[in-house]
Amino acid sequence: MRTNTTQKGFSLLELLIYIAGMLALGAVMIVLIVQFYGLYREIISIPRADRTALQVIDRLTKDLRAGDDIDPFESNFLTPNGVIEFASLDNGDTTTKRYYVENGMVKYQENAEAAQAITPKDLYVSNFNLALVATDVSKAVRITIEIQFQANGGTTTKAYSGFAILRESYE
Amino acid sequence: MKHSASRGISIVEIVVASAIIATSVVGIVGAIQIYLKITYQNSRETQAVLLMDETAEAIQYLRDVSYADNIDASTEGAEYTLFWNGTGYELATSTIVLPYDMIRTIVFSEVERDSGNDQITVSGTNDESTKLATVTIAWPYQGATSTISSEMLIHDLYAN
Repeated sequence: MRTNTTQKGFSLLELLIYIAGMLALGAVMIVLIVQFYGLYREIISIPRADRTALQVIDRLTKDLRAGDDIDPFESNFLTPNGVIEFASLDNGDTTTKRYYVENGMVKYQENAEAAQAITPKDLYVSNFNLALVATDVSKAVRITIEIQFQANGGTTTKAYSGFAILRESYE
Repeated sequence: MKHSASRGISIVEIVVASAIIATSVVGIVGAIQIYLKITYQNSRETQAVLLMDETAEAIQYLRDVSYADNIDASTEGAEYTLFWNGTGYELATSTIVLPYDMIRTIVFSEVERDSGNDQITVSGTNDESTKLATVTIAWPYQGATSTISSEMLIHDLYAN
């Protein structure tokens, strides 16, 4: 019986080629996974940022349209850390509503009760800018919101704006 | 005696396996692309709805400032756009491209009323103190243009 030891196992060259091949494959896989993760973050974050901004603007403009007058001493206009406090009519009852930004979240406070965050923790509201606009017959507020999120290895900022006339402010 | 363990994989098997893997990868990539397109289009629509809402409110603001100077002074049928100047909204005739290549157009037109019952009709007497504003938000999508459009009546409510 003949034993052929050269046919058993791998030669050093085969082993080197195998390791090189595996390393190359591993590197490609890692790059693909990182890219996919960035893409995933982006396609998940964009609609979330959109929904969040739409919800805040919708809610604030709705409340402002039912609004009577804005408290100029409690509000802070034309700053990225905007604050707005106003009286809003809800089924005949007057409610004091306050919207402000704190720790990158938009917060809502009703009648000086405990404030609640109306935007999620992981989306950073970098700008909540409010501008008071007065005409001879009415008052209005322009809202600009910027939301930051991580995607594709960098920070993406999306800006949204809204405008509402206080219906109860008409002379 | 045949050593079946040393036979390895035949070329046919490799081709079949590659074809299956390639088909599934192409399928997954296609699905991701469709999802991305829908996501981007949804995002544009959200932005367009916000712009439309803002425009409708801003036209009322322009009316509140002065119906005569803003609404009545506009040329009927001409394309206007709107911009925020830092303290208020202004109408402009130049094209302003908003983020995501969005374009907002406002066209004012005359309103005709029936001389008998004052109802709005196609042909009647021109109502001097009312105009129809047609707002269109347009943005490019897949080589074509997507639009949303809305109409509103502006009346000289405050005689200003």
